[in-house]
Amino acid sequence: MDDKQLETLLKDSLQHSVGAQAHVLDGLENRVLEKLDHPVTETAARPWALWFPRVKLTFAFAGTALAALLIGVFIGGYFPMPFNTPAYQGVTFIVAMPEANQVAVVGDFNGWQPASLSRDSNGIWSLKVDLSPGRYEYAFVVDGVAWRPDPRADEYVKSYGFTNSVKYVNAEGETS
Amino acid sequence: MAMGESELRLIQRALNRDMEAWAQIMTNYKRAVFGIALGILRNAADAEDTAQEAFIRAYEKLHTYNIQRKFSTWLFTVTANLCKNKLRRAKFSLPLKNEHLIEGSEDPAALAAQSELQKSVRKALERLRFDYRAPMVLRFYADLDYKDIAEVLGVPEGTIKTRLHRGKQELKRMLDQEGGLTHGRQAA
Repeated sequence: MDDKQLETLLKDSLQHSVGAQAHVLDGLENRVLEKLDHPVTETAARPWALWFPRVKLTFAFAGTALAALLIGVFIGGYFPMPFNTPAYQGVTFIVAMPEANQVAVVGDFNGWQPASLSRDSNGIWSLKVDLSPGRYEYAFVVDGVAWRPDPRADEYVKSYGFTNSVKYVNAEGETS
Repeated sequence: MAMGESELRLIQRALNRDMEAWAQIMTNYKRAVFGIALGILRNAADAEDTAQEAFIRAYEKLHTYNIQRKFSTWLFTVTANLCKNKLRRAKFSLPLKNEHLIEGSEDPAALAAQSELQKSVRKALERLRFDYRAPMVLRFYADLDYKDIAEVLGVPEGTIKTRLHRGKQELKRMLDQEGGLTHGRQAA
């Protein structure tokens, strides 16, 4: 088979594959427009898939932080100076979801591992977490699958097609 | 510049939050975007998800689109990047939706009409690694030239030429092998 024949076959084969499955495109415009109307209520079909790259990133940052710490200790041995350990403060994650059976928070502060919130009789879910001052990205995971932003977040960022919430914690443990 | 005036007008309207204009752009490009995603990801369900995501991402980033560039190339770049991320994520987590669904979701009449040789070519293409498969799909499905493929995949034009050449060699090798197997079965 020469190149020309192969190229023709490739074209025909790809066109045919698309033609045979093009029915899945019916109504795609409406599905997209619907999502664009509600940009902050996306549902993560497979939110766990997101965590692997994030965990990897977290390890990368942890590695850098550890290296920085070791350098600090090494230099500190020669040039002793006061070491400012950040104070950990209780920050409450709270969200109203009376219809949910289970709500967890995942974020860069817990390695994107779900931490369950507790529900009160009104369907308010909450969890107090100790966080040092800084900026944190997180999301609520509802019933194990749906990735939801926090309506009380300080800001929102898009990541891998999903909306994450951002919380800033100051030295008093309050969010801005 | 290949962009028609009407397309530019549609883009300008979409930039002004005219959703009808964006819907029209989606109608014009959905088959191409889906075809690229299908060729790279190898199953219809993931390709449809990716097509949706590409149009959402492109709409959100439309203000960053430079009208000096071809709109199709920009949109295909968004699509190819999403496919790449999807494949990368699939390595770390669940596999992409079952590949046997590809055939199950096809129109049976269309499937029957496909020649054995076309089926073999498609299966061989699915087995190619991403670096070879993606340029093949952009070249032979989306009909892009080397320069545009290089832009979409973010690699030099020379690399694209090499990958297309090697990809074709690899395909021929696989098809030869399969032909040998078929004869073997027939003989047995």
